[in-house]
Formats: sequence, structure tokens, C-alpha cells
Amino acid sequence: MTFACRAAVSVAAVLLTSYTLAAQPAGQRTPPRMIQPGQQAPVGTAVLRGVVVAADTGAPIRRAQVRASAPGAQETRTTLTDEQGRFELRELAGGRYTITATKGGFITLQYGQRRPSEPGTPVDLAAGQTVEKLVVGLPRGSVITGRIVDEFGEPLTGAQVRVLRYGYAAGARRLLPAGQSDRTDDQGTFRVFGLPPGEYVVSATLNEDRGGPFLRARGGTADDEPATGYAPTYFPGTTNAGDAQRVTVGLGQEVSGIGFGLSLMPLAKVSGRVVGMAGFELAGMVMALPDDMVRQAMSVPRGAPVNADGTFELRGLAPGRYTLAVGARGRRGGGDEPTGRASITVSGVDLSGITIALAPPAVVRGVVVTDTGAVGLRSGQVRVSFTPTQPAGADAFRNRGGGINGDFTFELAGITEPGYLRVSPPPGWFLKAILRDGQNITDEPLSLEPGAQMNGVRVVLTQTASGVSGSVRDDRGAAVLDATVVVFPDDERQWVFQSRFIRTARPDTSGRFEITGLPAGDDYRMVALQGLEDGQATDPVFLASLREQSQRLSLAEGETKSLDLKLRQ
Amino acid sequence: MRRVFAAVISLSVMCAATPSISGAQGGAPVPRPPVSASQGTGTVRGVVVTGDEPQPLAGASIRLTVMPAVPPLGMFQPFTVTTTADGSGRFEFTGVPAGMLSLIAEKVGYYNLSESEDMAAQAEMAARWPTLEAGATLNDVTVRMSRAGVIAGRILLPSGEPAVRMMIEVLRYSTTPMGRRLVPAGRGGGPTITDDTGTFRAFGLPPGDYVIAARPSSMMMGPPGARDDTRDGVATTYYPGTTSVADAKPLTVRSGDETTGVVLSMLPVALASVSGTVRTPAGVDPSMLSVGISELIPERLGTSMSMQRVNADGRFTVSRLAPGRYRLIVRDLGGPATRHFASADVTVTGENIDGVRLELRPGTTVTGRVVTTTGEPVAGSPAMRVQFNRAEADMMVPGPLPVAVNADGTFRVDNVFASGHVRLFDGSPTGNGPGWTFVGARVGDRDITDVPLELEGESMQVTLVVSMRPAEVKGAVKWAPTPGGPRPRVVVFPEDEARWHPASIGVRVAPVGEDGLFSIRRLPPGDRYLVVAVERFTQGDLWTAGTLAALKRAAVPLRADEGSVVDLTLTAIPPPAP
Repeated sequence: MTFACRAAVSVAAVLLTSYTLAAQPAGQRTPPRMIQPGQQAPVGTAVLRGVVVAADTGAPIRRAQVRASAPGAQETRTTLTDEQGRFELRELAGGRYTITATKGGFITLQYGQRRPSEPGTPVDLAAGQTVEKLVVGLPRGSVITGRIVDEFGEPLTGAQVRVLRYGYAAGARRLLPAGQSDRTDDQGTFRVFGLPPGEYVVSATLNEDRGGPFLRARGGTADDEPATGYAPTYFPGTTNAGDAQRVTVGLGQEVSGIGFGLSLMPLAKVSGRVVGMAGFELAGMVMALPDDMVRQAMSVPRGAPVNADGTFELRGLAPGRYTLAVGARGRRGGGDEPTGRASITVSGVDLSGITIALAPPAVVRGVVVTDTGAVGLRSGQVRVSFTPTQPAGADAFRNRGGGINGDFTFELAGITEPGYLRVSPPPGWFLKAILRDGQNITDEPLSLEPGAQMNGVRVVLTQTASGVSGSVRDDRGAAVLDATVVVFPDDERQWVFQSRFIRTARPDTSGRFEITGLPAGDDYRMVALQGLEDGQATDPVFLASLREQSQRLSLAEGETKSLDLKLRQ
Repeated sequence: MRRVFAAVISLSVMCAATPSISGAQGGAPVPRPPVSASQGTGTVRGVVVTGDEPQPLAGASIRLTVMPAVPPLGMFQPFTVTTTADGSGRFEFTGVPAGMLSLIAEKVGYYNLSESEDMAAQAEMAARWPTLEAGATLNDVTVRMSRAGVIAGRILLPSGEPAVRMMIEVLRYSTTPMGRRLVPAGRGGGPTITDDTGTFRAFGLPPGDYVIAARPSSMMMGPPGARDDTRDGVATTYYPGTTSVADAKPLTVRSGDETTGVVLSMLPVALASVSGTVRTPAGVDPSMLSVGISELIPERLGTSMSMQRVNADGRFTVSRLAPGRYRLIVRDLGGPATRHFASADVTVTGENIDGVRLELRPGTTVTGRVVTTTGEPVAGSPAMRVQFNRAEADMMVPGPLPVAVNADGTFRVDNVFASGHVRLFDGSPTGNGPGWTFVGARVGDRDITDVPLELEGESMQVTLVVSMRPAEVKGAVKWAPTPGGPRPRVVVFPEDEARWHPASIGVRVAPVGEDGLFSIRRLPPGDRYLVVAVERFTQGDLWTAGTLAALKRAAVPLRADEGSVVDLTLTAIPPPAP
């Protein structure tokens, strides 16, 4: 390849605009394809072709894994690039595809992504169409390496090292794990690779749990001296994440010498009683769940058995805030077992006299129906779950519930905190409303009393939904592909995690974006911008800042609006 | 906990000679929370040493576990506490209850001399645990550690590029009840995976011969309809560069050796996919099924399994298979118990295979009663459980969860898919509950005690027999002791060769104490036993071909009636020549 050609390829990789369409013109839509049970999936005839290159040099990457996935068409196909970095996927069904390329030593990216934290560009493939010259540019991964030592300066083996970066999750800015973690070897060395450039916080911890409430004593026995252990520590050696020194890594750079020592901290003993409930046998364990999401990810929660008289003793807790959680065992074993929670703050001193009162959980029962009585919906494809509003401890992203029964009824048991009902219908179906006693409770937070039984909930699904599509244009009227469209409600009360009213989309290779499955509403706002990070769209502070620049949008029931959005700077 | 568990297993192996080969399951439902052992009043002091001289070793962490002489009913947690040795290697524990002590030390770069990959040798070590009387003080307990070795190097792709994120398997030959098998060298610390430069480092290795293998990490379960078109790639490659286990050359690690610079180039192979259909009975949704695929390699004890979902139309495709022989297993993902099962073996030679047909079938329900040797009914309890020990070839078949015997002595086990030996056990190290010893199983009049239960149809009836008065064999052994050498073992086995296999309850191996005495308790009554004492003999030697036949020639007949105690004096014979 000549220099000019290579430069063109690398420019193309960066701008991600190169494509060629054959056969059908842009604009002809292919609806998502549903496979009915017993029906053989038809073999498609569409083709995707392209090349994977190194983003900085444009050099082809051989043996890279390429995955094209279109959940709506139930297609997920994987292949490897050849010696010239080229890939071809044949016999595809039409659909909206996400194309992802992976190669060791490089950062995994989707077609259309510049950074992992941004959304990619979907490729719209009509039935029988061939889309060629897709270029996926992968940046070289960066490396952070170093040594972890103990308080004597000796290498610490088996310490779990996690690299974190600030990002948006669950509607707030937090420290999130970035990339793979690593365990230190016998020399205390760790190596975290495949990182995108950026600023990171490096953390390390040593878990001594091997399945039991063991205690690490120093030079004596369990009861003689206060126990000590290693708490999660951040470079350059602080136990407070806020004081951590950020490590800046450039593109494809290896930063070494990130070494630090884990500090020994006093571990506390927490004891108390679980106050039970008649008819239920006290059993199981009291678990101490760290409130800090980062610590949760890094350590195995400690637990202690509940004695017959309800007393318990947890040992080896590092300083921090915890939620103590305990369950009981019912004779019927049917998900109605009471649970109890208590919040504690540990600061190195033993705590005693903690009381955890068991209260029965609440239950929500109902049925899933369709608005028109249409058939073709399979119960196995619908999920109804309960998401807590205030994720506490390890329950942060745990939804209660899941599948529904074959007769479309469902029961969500074990609800112990306020939260929302969340419904995941299959492709082509959307949530229309959640009703109870004639009231529409679709987006209402539920705060159920202990032991409450909420029956008769009706989840109504529909195949008609509103939507908006169109293109993003710059000042000169040219189509912009590298942009994100955000649709959000004017009502701040709906600016919550997993809100149905907040949606984002990026234009596809033909310059067209599409958002389907929006509830009808007349107070939406809409804006197109660049550089949006994952999860930022649910940050209330961010949405408030967008209000002024956004334009109004109203959608009637079943209406799909088509319009052009001007890119906001 | 792993080591305690290994010790518990080895104890049960020692006393009951019925190693459990039931494979990994979801875990038996525990009827009661575990009983925590309470503290005691004893003291244990000692030192950690290393090397030939030996020299004290500073800074090791030591875990003390106390196994009570009479374990309580059901599952329990033994007393355990950890401390750290000081600068002179000394440590002390107070408040220790009475029982058999196990001390395991940990220090980076070292391994316990009491640790070994061999289940048989571990049982040997367990026999040497010191015993602490209540309130007593034990001084000068010595824990020996030795320098551990390292194997490190780089893995490359056929193109010469580094092989990133490959799984490194460190294997060694071990004598298992099934014979000599390559098993993962248990080192703890998680799996070894190559980094972005293809580098790996396997540390903490006791001396021995190790087979190194590199393979791509297991495929994660893709969404329904996922297909991988990759036709050539890399597959498991054994050092120094072969895809065949038999041609692998082990690397020898001596004490403290660091073998670096090991370079292994993965071999290119043709990858193929296997597709087919699963036929399901009415009411079973194919999209709730998964297909597990695992390579069948006779020299290895178990290989990793990849899983793939079945599509709504019953079709499935498993991709990226290197040439070899595989077993496909279909199971339903709904619910904790597998209610249907199908399996097929397939040979892959590089070409895509289509049209594999699997028919999902329900399992067999086995019901029955527990009675005594005289036919009296036996009251069941949550601790009395019925379990199926499957053969090695069936280890990947989902097993029924152990089921407790009801109070009226009846039991019902659903979802049995593979034949196996039916057993009663209770989770304690000896495997038998207080007062009862499992002695036999019958289907109708047919004795199936040491014969696998052949599944017939949808339901079967089995009678399990226990003895409330098992036999005991004890006595003294005469042998010529060597200083520091192992003591002989006593082997009891049935005369009937059909009962010579690892799952047999009539085969027992017992250690001989320092005082030359041995005791085999809870022996199923029988009149056609043979007994012999053998020098330098371990559990693992039992199942080497020809061993029992050779022992038979030197053994004396033994009759063990119900309730009887037989007292013998034996002279140890040299171990049979291999």
C-alpha cells in the first residue's frame, strides 16, 4: 500500500465514515425477525465485509476476532480476520448489527466507537444486502504494572489488583472497575493490560477468606490481641479512594513502577442478636456487605452463623460502612422468609449489641397481558423484576425476580426495600402500562410495608410504541455520523436509573438514527451532541444542563416522528 | 479450607475405602446449619523449619485445624485458627480443644512437606497427625516447609505473535482410584493466564514432573443462535509442542527450582462446528436448554466444558472445536434439578458436522427402603442420605442431589440419569452414621452392593441394608521398621474378584499406629474376606493392575460375622512388585 493509501486508511479508521452500499438504497427498513418455536430460522443472504486495523498506524490486524450481533434478528456471528486483517460474514439475516473487534494487546471496540465508554455505530443491514469496507480501528492497549508489598516490604502474593476509573453508573459518578484485574504472583508483581488511555486509580486488596470465618492473629491466639488484616489500598498507599493518586496512561503506553504496600488495619469484631419472628427458624448467616461499591467488587463478604439463640459474632471487619443482612428459613421454604438489615460503621473498634430485627418481605403478584390480545408472545421471553431504588451493598444491581410462569402470571417475592418494577419484553414488544386496581403505576416507585402482599398487578405489553428517527446535521446541513441523540423527559422525577423515558441512539452507517419503544408523551426533550459517555444520560445534573440546548418533542400513541436534529456544540 | 477438606476426604478414604466419584453438583441441601466446634483449654507450640539442616523459617502463617475423635452428626465446622510465626519461626496457639491436629503453614515460595498431589500420600500424612488430649500442652511441634519451584515462560501463536489470555494448565500424574491420571496441580492462587506479552508464571510448585498445556479460555455461553465461523485457530497444545497428551514431555521441578524461558508455540488446528437438533418431550421449551461439550481424553481426569444455548427451534451449534473426541450433554437450565437429559459422543476431524440428533429423556426415579440385615425397618434421619457414585466415564452426567431418608425408612431419588453404585452416607469423615453401617443394596433378590445399578425404565425399587452391629477387625502387625520410614498398612478385601474396584465397600485399608496396632471398624459382615499387612503400601497402590491378585496369594482368610470383633496378629509382607 502506498503511503497515501495508508494514510487514507488510518484517517478513515479515525473518522469511521467509510462504507459502500450495494443493492437496496438506504431508508428501506427491515423489521426485526421473530423466531417462533418449532420454526427453523431462515438462512439469510446478507453479507458484511471489512477490515480491522491498528488505529494509530492503519496496519491490518491479523487473527482479530470479529463479532457481528443483531439481537433483534437473533444473530450473533463470530469470525477471525485473515492475514490481511480482512473479515467476511455471510448468510446473515437482515438486521441492525453491532460489530465488535477484539485482539490481545489492543482495546476491544465496536465499529463506530472511539473509546469504550462511548456508544458505537450500528450497521443497518437489509435482507440480502452486502455492506463492505467497514473499517474498525483498534487502539493499542496500555499497561500498568508494578509490585505490591506487605508492611515489611516483602512481596505480597495473591493480592487482587483492580484498576478503576471514574465513570457514570446507576445514575451517579463513581469509581468503576476498568478492564481486567490481576493477582500478584510470587514476586508481588501485577500487570493490567488492554487499557484505554486515561486516568486511573490502582487498588489492591488481599482476601484471606477461603470459606469460613477465619481470623488472622499476630503472634498470639484469637482472643489475645486485636486482630489485624489488609484493607483495600489505593496507589500510592492510602485506604481512602479520594486520596488516591491518579495514574495517567497515554495511548499504547506501558507505565511501570506502580508499586505500593498494603497497610495492616485493625479488624473489628461485631456482635449482636437477630430478633426472630414466630414460625420461622433462625438459621443461615449474617453477612456483612460493604456499602462501598468498589470494596464489594474486591472482597468476599464476611459472614457468621446465627446461633440458636439469635446471637452472632462477625470477626475480621475492616473499617468502613456495612449493611448487615440476614435471612431466616421457613418451613415452607417458599420465598416468604423474613429478612433483616442493619447499617453499621466500623472504625477499628469492636462493636457489640447490634440488633437486627427480622421482618417479612413483601410480595408482588400479577399477570402479563397484551393490549390487543395478540398471540405470538412466549412467556419465556418476558422478564419481570424488581429493582431497588437505593442499591445497598451487594444488592446494588441485583434485581429480584426474573422469568414469568408459563401461564403469564408472575410472583416477585422477597422484596425488602423500595424500588421499581422493571419489565423486559422481547424484541418487537414494549411495555405499555403497569396497572393495579385501575391505577396506572407504571413508573411509580413502590415502597411496600414488610409482609405486604400486592396482588392483581397487570403488566400490559403492546406491539405499538412511539418512536423518533431521523438524522443529525451540522451547521452546513451535512449529515453527522459521530453524534449521540438523547431523548429525555422534561419531568425530573423520571430522571432515574433505567427510566423508560431516557433513551440514546447513534446514527448508523447511512446517517440515520432510530429510537423505538418510547412511551407516548408530550413533554419530551431531545438533543444531539458528541462525546457522550456511557451512563451520563442518567446523571440528573447532566440532563439539567442539557435542557436549554434541547428542543421539545411530543409523541402520540403509536406515532413515529421523523426529523433532522441540529448538532449542538 | 481446601486443605482441611482434602484432609477430611483423606480420612474418609482411609476408613471407608469408598471414594466418592459423584462429581461436582449443585450442593446437597443441608438440613441444619453447621455446628461450630467450641474452644478448649489445650496449648500447642511449635516451630516452622525448612531445609536439610533444618533451619527456622520466619514469617510463615500457620493454620491449625482440630478434628474431633468422634465427629458430631451431620456437617460441622472443625475448630480452626490461624496465626503467624515470629522471626524465629515460633508460634503458639491457646484455647485448643482436644482432637487430632493438623497444621498447615503458608509462605510465599514454599510449600508444606505434608502437602502432596497424591490423595494416597495425603491419607498417609493424615495418619501421622499428633493427638491433643483435653487441656494438655504440646510443645515442639515441627512444621516442615520446602522451597517451591516456578515454571515460567511465553506462549506464542503460530504466527509468532504472543498468545494473549491463554489458560495455562499445570498438570501432574497422580494415582487416583481410577488409575494414573493427569490432574491439575493444586496450587491455589487462581488460574494462570498469559498476559499481553504471552508470558505466564506458575509458582508454588512442589518438586515433581509437570505437564504444561496452553489452551484458549473456555467459550462463554453465547446468546441463542450464536455461531462462530472461525475455521482455523489454535487448540490445547502441550509442551514442548504437541496436541496429543501422550506425546507431552513433562518438565521436572526440583526443590526451589526456577525454570524460566519455557517457550511453547501453539499449534494451528482446523476448527469445526457441530450442529444438530434436540428433540424435547412436550412441555419442555428448547430455549431453556444448554449443550455442554467436553473433550474425552483418557489420560486426563476431567477436562473443561464449554456451554452453548439451544435455539427455540431445538437446533444448536457448538463452534471452534479442534479435532478430537467429545461428549455432548444436554441439560435443562430451568430450576435446580435437571429433569431431562441427553448425551452423545462425537468425533471431530476438522470438517463441520451437522445432523447430530439428541433426544431428551426423563431420568429414572429410584425409590426404596432402608432395612437392617435381619429385615427390620430403620428410622431415617436428615443425616442419612442416599447417593449415587457414578463411574468416571459418567462424571459429566448431572447427578441427582443426595436425598435424605424419611423417618419411616423410605426414600425417593428423582432424576437419575446414569448407572452408579448406590450408597448411604452421612457427610461425616467415616461416611457411616452413628450406630449404622451401610452394608448392601438389592434390587429384588439381586445383590447390587458392588455392582452398578443398571437403570431400567422410569422407576425402580432398591432396598438398602445397614447393619447396626458391624464387625471389627483389630490386632497387631509385626514388621522391620526403618527409621523415619512409613509404617505398613493392613488391607482387607473380599475374595470375590468382582468386588475389587474403587467403589467397593468391602475393600479397606487401615494404617498401623506407632505401637504396631491397627483397627478396622464398621466392616460390613461377611465370611469370605482376605486380610494382609503390607509394607510401604498406600491407598493408591490398591488399584494398580495385579496388586490385589498378588496380595491374595499372601493373605489369610478372614470371617467377620455381624457384631464380632476379630483379633489377629499379622506379619507384614513386602509390597507386591509392580
